Amino acid sequence: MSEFDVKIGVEIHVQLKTKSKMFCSCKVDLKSEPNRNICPICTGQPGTLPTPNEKAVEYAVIVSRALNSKIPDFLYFSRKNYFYPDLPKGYQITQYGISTGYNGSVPVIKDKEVIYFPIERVNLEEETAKSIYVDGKVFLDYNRCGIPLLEIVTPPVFDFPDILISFLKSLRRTLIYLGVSDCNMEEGEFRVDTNISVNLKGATLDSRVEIKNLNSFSAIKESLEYEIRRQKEAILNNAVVTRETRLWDEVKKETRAMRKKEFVEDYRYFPEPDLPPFEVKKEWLTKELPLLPDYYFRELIKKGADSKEAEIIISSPFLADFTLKVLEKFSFQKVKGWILTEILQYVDDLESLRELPFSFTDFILFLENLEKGLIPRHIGQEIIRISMTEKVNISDLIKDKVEIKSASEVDKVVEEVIRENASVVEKIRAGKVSAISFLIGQTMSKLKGKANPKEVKEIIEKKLNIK
Amino acid sequence: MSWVKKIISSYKEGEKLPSEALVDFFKRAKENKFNSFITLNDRVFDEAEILDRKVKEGKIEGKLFGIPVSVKDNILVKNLRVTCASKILENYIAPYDATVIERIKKEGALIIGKTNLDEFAMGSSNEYSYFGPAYNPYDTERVPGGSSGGSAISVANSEAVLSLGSDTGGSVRLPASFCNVYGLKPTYGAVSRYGLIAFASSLDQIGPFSKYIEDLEIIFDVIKGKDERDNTSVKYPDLKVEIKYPLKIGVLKDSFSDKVEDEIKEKLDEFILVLEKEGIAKFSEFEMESFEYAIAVYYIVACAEASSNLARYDGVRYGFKKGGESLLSMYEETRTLGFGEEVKRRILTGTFVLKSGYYEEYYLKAQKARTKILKEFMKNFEKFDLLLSPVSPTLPFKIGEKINDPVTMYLSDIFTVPVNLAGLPAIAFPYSFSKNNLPIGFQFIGKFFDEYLFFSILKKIENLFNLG
Repeated sequence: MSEFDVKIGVEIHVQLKTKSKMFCSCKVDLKSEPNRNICPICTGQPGTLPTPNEKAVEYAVIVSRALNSKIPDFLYFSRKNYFYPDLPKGYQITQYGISTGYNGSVPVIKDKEVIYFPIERVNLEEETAKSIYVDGKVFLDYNRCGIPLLEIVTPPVFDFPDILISFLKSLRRTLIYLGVSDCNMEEGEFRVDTNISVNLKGATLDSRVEIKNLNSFSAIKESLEYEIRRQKEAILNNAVVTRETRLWDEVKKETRAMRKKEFVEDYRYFPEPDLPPFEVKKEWLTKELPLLPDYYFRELIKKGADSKEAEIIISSPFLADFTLKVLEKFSFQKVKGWILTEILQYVDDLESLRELPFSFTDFILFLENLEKGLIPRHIGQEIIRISMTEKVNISDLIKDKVEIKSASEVDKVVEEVIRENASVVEKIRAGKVSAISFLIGQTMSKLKGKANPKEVKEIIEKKLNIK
Repeated sequence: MSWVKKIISSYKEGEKLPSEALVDFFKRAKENKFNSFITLNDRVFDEAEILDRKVKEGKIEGKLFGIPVSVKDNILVKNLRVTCASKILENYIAPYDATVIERIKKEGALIIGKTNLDEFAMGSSNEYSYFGPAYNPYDTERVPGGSSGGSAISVANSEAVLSLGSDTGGSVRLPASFCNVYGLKPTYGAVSRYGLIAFASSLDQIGPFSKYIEDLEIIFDVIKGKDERDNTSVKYPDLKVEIKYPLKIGVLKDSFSDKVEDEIKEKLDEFILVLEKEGIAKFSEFEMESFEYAIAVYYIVACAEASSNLARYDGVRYGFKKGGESLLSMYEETRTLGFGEEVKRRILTGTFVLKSGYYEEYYLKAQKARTKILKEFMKNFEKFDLLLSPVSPTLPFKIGEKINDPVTMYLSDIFTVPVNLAGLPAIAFPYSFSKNNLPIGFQFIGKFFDEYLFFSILKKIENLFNLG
């Protein structure tokens, strides 16, 4: 068996969720009809000039800080020149020669450990238009053109698709926690291009293959696994692995050559003469960053969560914050079932969870009632179900459900139930004590759940003289 | 004397209405004897009638109220086509007003039409126009200078009172000089470039033309100043400098080299003598070591930026389009047929100098040379208040004379390009005529934001020589 060196690097493009575009005041809104949010600037009309969106620059600086990057005192933009219909000016305004962030890192949680993976650079640039292919024709939607875009580049340091996926998930989570992007992959807000080279151990030949068009973690993983296999087989068969760009075919589950890279493309970069260099503002560098996923992770572990549980909770910044607040009053053991099972069973997309129908103080009240025995467990489950499915605050449900019937009322109902179920009573008396649960159920149902089943059981037992 | 003030006072005195004043200007513009206009503004009389009503209501407000202004056809005037004298933009209608246009419209200017130029402002003779060459009003066999030839002619021939052009390497000053009018190249950043079709972004400045120096000051007051839409524009400083005459003026030694025609040198000598005698200035010569590299540096920087700035004319969204068998064929045919020879020459030169591996050798080196040129200028400004040189080493040349020899053509700009490379202001002013009655003009070069020093000294000179 031959041994191989696998080197994987990634380039990630992230759409920033600023209100307006990178170099004009057009709205950022991809849900509008095509070509509604456009102006002379973002469609490259003659005579127009770019004006940078300060918020986007601030976001780029904040991301660079969160990724532990070095940030220069001054920044400038450059032009990347190439022709393509989705690029209205014939050049993209980007960063070259200087980046907003250098030599950063992303913490990746592995078991209970945190490993740091390097980031080479964070660049701020502008998005291109969207090409839409219909019946062999290309249509262009410039709503997307000019949206601020971050380009995050890693060196080829990953040797395993799995570890790369963990890295990407951590990075993506960090960006979501920072509030700079929703990172919706299907919408193209977080796009990944991978590059991979496989060599026999010790060989130096660089036959880097790029894979584009990856819009899900499974596509990234499957395409890399396919490509590693393909390149290994090629090497073992003494075939040459061509330096090229390949596309991932989601249906056939294979990569396909898109274009050969016979020469390095020459983008004729030069500093953007329309935008003078500018200073990185102090406030961008000193502003407090939001708490990041690894903080929440560590706190949850401290409070007794295992890494799997912690990982689930931090996949939503909202839930992470919610849980930590609840954990100030209750132990993790007491709440974990309620949060991880009872609440989350009603959440389809945990990552985009941004609110619950109740606040953490409502939830704490709920837990207190449970602890006092005022809310029976199964009623509690029912309350969560109704709250989550019908979007009702649990506080209202508690009032409604937990108005416990008085002992005399319960007494009356129990007597009714005993009367109506003579045969069951007989069985119980004959020794089949377990049948008592049927009577409890009947009583609870007549009381519409508004009683403590423990008490009901005691009353029945008393009435039937058992125990 | 101010023609602008004279016209406005004729409105105030009730002698004329704006639409009446416009008639003669428009007639000459329409006649287009020297091919100075590419497009006339058909709606200008409607616009004038609105001003007529204001006159009748006694609301004569605005520094350019009812003043006919022509605009170089690389500056956008909303709803008028803007061609850049190129086939590629032949039918392109401007979707917005350039900042300078907004500003002059706000002051009541009447835009009479769009003037001829070298395609994309690339040229020194106005011969490289898709709409044909323009002709020098003093000798129609000769060029008016370029690239803003049409603007200079329109003012010289009273087709407009004022004109706006653009100056990347001398494109306002050279035609001003060849057509016997004033032309200002402002400090880089003093006037917004928003709405000026870019040739070389780090060199381009919009500049005005006039027959009288006071009018140049009036329109400069209107167009100057920071614009949020142009990040390279700056707030014009509020400097009130007391000017002490005689000024110390440095004369560039190369003004008297053998590359400069004798008649120009003679007139320059004469001009210096008179100014000294009148106590307006004291002169001494200065040298610029970097002067000889300026043309080379200029063509590297200008072409590099142009190659990128002109990439947007690709047939995808607007303008001339040809082909389409494949994406590549569309690009190739559109750009091959849409651009003229000189434009293509410069795009190719610019593409070459930005190529990976050549960038450091050419573009980066040229940028360093720019810094050196500026430093040399600034060193001279420690000794001098102003610098003086001819605008052009030659008198207006014959149409066709230099068209097949681009390098000789480029040398027409030898005195003007160093100024753009340094970002300094300069002004071309008319002085005299050759034996054959061809205009001879000179230029003052100032420190950053010295425009008002130009206006001040030139008012004195205009009075003295009865110029304009």
